Amino acid sequence: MKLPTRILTFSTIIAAGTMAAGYGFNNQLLGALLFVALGLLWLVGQRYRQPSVAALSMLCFVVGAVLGAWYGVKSGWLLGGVTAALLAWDLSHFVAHVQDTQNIENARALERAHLQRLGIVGGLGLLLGVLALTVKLTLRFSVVIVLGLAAVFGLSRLIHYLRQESD
Amino acid sequence: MRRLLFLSVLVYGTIIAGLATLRGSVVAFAIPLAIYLLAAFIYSPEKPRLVVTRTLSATTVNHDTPVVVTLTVTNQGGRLEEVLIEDDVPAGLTITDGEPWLQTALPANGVIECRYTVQGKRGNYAFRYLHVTVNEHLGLFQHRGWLEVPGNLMVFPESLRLKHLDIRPLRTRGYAGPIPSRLAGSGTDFFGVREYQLGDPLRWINWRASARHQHALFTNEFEMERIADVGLILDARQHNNVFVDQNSLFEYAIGATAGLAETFLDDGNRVGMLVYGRGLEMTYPGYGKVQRERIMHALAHARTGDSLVFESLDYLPVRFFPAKSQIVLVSPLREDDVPVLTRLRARGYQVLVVSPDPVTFEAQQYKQDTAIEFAMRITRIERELMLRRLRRVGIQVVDWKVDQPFDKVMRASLVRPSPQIRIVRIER
Repeated sequence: MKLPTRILTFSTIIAAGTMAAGYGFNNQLLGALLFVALGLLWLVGQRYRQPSVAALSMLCFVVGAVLGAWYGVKSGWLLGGVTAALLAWDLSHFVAHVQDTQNIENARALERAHLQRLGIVGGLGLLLGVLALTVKLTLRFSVVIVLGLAAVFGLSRLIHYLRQESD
Repeated sequence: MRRLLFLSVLVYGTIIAGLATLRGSVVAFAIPLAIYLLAAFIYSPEKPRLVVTRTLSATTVNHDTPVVVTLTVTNQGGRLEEVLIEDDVPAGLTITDGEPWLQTALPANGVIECRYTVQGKRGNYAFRYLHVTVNEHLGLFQHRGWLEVPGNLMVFPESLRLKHLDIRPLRTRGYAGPIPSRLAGSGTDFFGVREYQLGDPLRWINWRASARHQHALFTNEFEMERIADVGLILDARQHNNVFVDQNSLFEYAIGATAGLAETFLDDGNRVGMLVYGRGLEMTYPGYGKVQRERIMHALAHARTGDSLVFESLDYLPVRFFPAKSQIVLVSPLREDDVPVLTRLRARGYQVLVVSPDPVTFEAQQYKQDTAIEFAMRITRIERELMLRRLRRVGIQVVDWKVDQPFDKVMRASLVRPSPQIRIVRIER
């Protein structure tokens, strides 16, 4: 159980660090300090096993990334922060779940499989995110609207389907 | 499910924020989240096809004996990345070793075993459901369900063993046993002398008596030893039961009844049992180990209860017990039980009352003060007078203070000369 816990702590520090660095380099010290404080709060929440802190922190990081983009913070830092926050959010749930269950057969293999998948997902997400940030396409406003609507509709259908499947 | 919803809202929110602000970079922040969601969806588990069997190391055990429960799960479907099985352990059983749940990965046709050890107080414990949760590694999509995997564990009550118990019912049965039958025949105890008859063994001739008569020989007679019918009555009337913290006086009565049943059955007697309280729960008379099992089953299920009909012993089904047999009543006793027991005695039953003392038992929970002591003293005197009235009509009474060993109390009470005789001597 040591490895996931270490990666969890590391991801939290990376998430807070990259967001703080992004805000800091943009001369927004208050924002940087807020993310440092948020990172510390998240670490304390992990220490005392408070799952709600993970969800709240994740939400704050995403909102912080959106606001950062609005205030002109470099997107690379923000994307890194969001990806690291996603990993930390996942691992805080995983660690708490494993600690609660106790009786796990071949726990190491289970940990390894989880970390492997999370690594692939995180890496792929970051890669595609960086690609999206670097590739520039010029689209007309109407096309953007249509694409946006299609994305929202598609996502809503997907989530509806997923929820049905999950039930 | 909450995590799935939370992540979906984040993805939605980020995309909408990106569209609203016309900033592609904001939409790009949603990509890692969307990939996470998509990966979870791709690996979402199919509906599990599991076959589960439950094995108990023993289905009937004595009080507080550990029992190993083994659950064998076979996966007849595709690979399950993470499966969590949780057994529904019946209330009242304590887990002493292992855990009733197990999380693991389960390949197609894979088999896993989950073992844990339980123990419990007397009763019947029915295992029924096994909860199964299957999810992919990221834990967003899962199938929850339960499987019916029945199992039954019967825990017999703690039996307060007795070495031997001397009873003398008026009527015995036709088979050899340990109880003096009040009839002459082959046996070991001297019974009387009669005139010699052809065929009597020479060593049975009473030479001392024969020497006093010139033309007659006399033969010793011995008392036949037979088995007897014993009827056990367990008083399960709720208002007779006393609770102190988690302890109930009824549990002691159960232990005593179990011990008495085992002792009488070990001696070869025919034993029946009646639990009198909520209703009439009868175990018809029988012999041997099978009967022991039946009585223990009945005792494991026995509960106190209230019934208007069976509030007093007036409706005791006397015909359930063979005429002139031995009746053993295990009860804390009440004042209005005395006439009923007197009537039983008058009908020719040999009655033994084992009475767990409710006064001493209840006194444990009170702090010592003058008023309580005074009240206890009055209650004790009332009880002693009630027990004396029973003894006067020839009923054997064992006043059992439950903190004392049952065997010791029984031996002391049944060996001593009847208190009735002592009282008579005092009066004279």
